[in-house]
Amino acid sequence: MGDIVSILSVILFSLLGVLFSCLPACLPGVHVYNILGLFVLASHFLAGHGVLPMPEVLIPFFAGLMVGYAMLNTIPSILLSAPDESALFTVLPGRKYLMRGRGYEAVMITALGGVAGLFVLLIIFGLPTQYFFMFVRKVLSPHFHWIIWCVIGFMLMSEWPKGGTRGMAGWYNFFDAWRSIGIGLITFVLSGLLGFILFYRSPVSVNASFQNLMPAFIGLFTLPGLIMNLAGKFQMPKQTYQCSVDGGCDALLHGTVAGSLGGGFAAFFPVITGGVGGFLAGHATSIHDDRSFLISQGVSKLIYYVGGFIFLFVPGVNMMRGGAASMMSGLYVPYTKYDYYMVLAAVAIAGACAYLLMSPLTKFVLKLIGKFGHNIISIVAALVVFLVVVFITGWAGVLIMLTATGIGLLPVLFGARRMNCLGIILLPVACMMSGCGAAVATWLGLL
Amino acid sequence: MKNDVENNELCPDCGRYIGPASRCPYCDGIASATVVRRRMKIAALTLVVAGLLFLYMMAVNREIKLVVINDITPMMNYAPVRIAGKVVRQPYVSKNDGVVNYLSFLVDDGTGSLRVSAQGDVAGKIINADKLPHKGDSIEVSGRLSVKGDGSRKLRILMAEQVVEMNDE
Repeated sequence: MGDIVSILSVILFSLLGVLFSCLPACLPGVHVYNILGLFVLASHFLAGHGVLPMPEVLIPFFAGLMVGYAMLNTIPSILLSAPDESALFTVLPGRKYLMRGRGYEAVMITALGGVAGLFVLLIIFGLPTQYFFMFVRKVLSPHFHWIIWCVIGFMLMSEWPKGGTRGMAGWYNFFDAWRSIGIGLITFVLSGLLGFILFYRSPVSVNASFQNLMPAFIGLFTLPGLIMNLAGKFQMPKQTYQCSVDGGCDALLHGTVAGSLGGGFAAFFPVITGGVGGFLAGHATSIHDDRSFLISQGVSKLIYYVGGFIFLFVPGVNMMRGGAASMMSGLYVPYTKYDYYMVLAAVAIAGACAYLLMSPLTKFVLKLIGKFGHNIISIVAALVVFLVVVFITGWAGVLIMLTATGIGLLPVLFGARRMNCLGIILLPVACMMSGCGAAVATWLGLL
Repeated sequence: MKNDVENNELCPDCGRYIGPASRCPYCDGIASATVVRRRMKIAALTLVVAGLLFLYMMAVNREIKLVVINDITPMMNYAPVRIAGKVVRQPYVSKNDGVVNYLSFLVDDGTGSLRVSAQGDVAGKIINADKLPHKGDSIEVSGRLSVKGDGSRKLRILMAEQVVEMNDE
C-alpha cells in the first residue's frame, strides 16, 4: 500500500511541478529558481511548525519544475525576447521566425530538441554510468579551473568586430571595429566585479543569501529584453500555427549531437551554463542551419538544467550543479538509489507532460500577445519580477537588479554578445577555483 | 501604433523617409530611433556606474553580521557571517606531503556548536600566522556559511585574518 502511495505521489507531484512551471512560461522574467526559492521559504516555514516535506513530494516536485521550465521557457525567450541565461541564443533565430509569422514553429522546433535531450538524458542516466561519472570527475576535478579559464578566453576572443569596414580610415575605423569587442570586454569585467561583490560581501540580508544571485540574473538577462520590447514598439506580425521540421532527420541528429555535447559539458562543469555549452557545441560541430541550431539549444538547455539536477542524485557522485540542486540540498540530501530512480521517473513523467503542454501554451501566449500586445505583457512581467525581488531579497536586491540591468543593457545597446554578462559567475568562480578569489576580493577591499 | 512605427522611419528634421538609417542622407538629421537609443545608452551607463559604485561602497562599509549559531537556517546558505564563541575541541589539522591543506575546529557560542574549516593556502596561512585556536580559546571568526538539508552546517574561512582571538573578561 505504501509503495502505491509513493508511486502516486511521484506522479502527482511531478505533474504539479510541471503545472507550476507554466507560470514562468507565460510570464517572462519569472525564473524557475524564483519559484523554487519561494517553495524553499514555504518549506522552511512548514518545517518550523513541525511539518517536514517527504522526499516523495520534494523530489518529483523539483524535477517536474525543472523539466517543465527547461522545456517551456522557450516560449518567452522566442515570443517575447525575454530569455534566461541558458536560452540567450534562441532569441535571434527565434525573432527571425517570429517576424516571418512562424514563432510557433520556432518554439515547437526547440521543444523537439527538448524531447531529444530528455531521451539522451534518460538513456545516459538509465545505464549504469555512475562509475564512469565518478571516474571522469576524479580525473577532471583538479583541472576544472583552467578549463573554465579556457572557456572564458574562447568566449571573449570569439567576439568578432562588427564595424571598421566602412567610413574614414584611421582612428574612426579603429574605434568602430573595437566597439563591440570593447563593450563585450567591459560587460564581462563589470559583471565580474558585481559577481565579486555578491559572492564576498553581498548587501542582501543573510536570511536571503540562498537567493543572493537571483536579482542580478534577472537584471542581466531578463529585464534588458523587456525594456527593449518597450522601447522598440515591437509589432508582432500575424502568426501561423504550422509546424514542420523540413529535412528533419539531419537537422534533428545534428542538433541533438551538438546540444548533447554542449548541455552535457554545461551540466558537468561548474558555472558553465546551458547557453555557453550550446555556444561551444555550436562552434565545435559547425551549426549554420537555424533549425539545427534551435534544436541544439533545446537539447542543451534541457540537459543543462535537468542533467545538472540529476547529478545530485547519482549514487557515489552526488555533485551539486546549478541552483536547483543547491536549493534541494538545503532541504534534503539524497543518498540512495531509491531517490535516484525516483528522480528519473519524475523526469520522464514531467518531460512527457511538458511536451504535451507546449503547443497549447504557445498558442495561449500568442493569443495573449495578440490581445494585450508585447508592451503590456512586458510591463506586467517587469512588475511581477520587481515584486518577487522585493519579497525575497528586499530593497538591496532591487539595487542589485537595477545595476545588473544597466550592465545587461550594454551589450544589447552597443551590439555585443549578451553572454558576456555571465562574467558575474564565471570570473569570481574561476578566480576561486584557481585559488586567487580571496586575494582578488581582499585587493578589492571586500574581505 | 502603426503611425508611430512609420514615424520612426521618417527624418524628424526634414520629414523624408529614411528607413532604418541612423542619420538622414538628405539633411544629416539624427533619426528619432537613434535619439531614443542614445538616451538609453546614457541611462544604462549612468545606471551601471552609479549602481556599481553604491553597491561597492555598501559592500565595503558593511559589517559582517554576527549571528547566533542556533539561529542559522538553510536560507543563510552562502551568507558571509561572523560567530563568536569558545573552541570546544582540539582543532583537527590535515597535511599532504608535509604541507597543511585543511583544518577544522568546533565553536560553541552557548546556543549551539558550528564546525569552522579552512582549506588549502588559507589553512596554511592560519598555521603560519599562529592564529590556530586551541581548546578553550574564545574566538570570533567570520567566513562563508554552508548549510545543507541533512542538518550539516559549516563556516568556511576565506582568509587567515578572519580568525580573531578574544580575551576573556
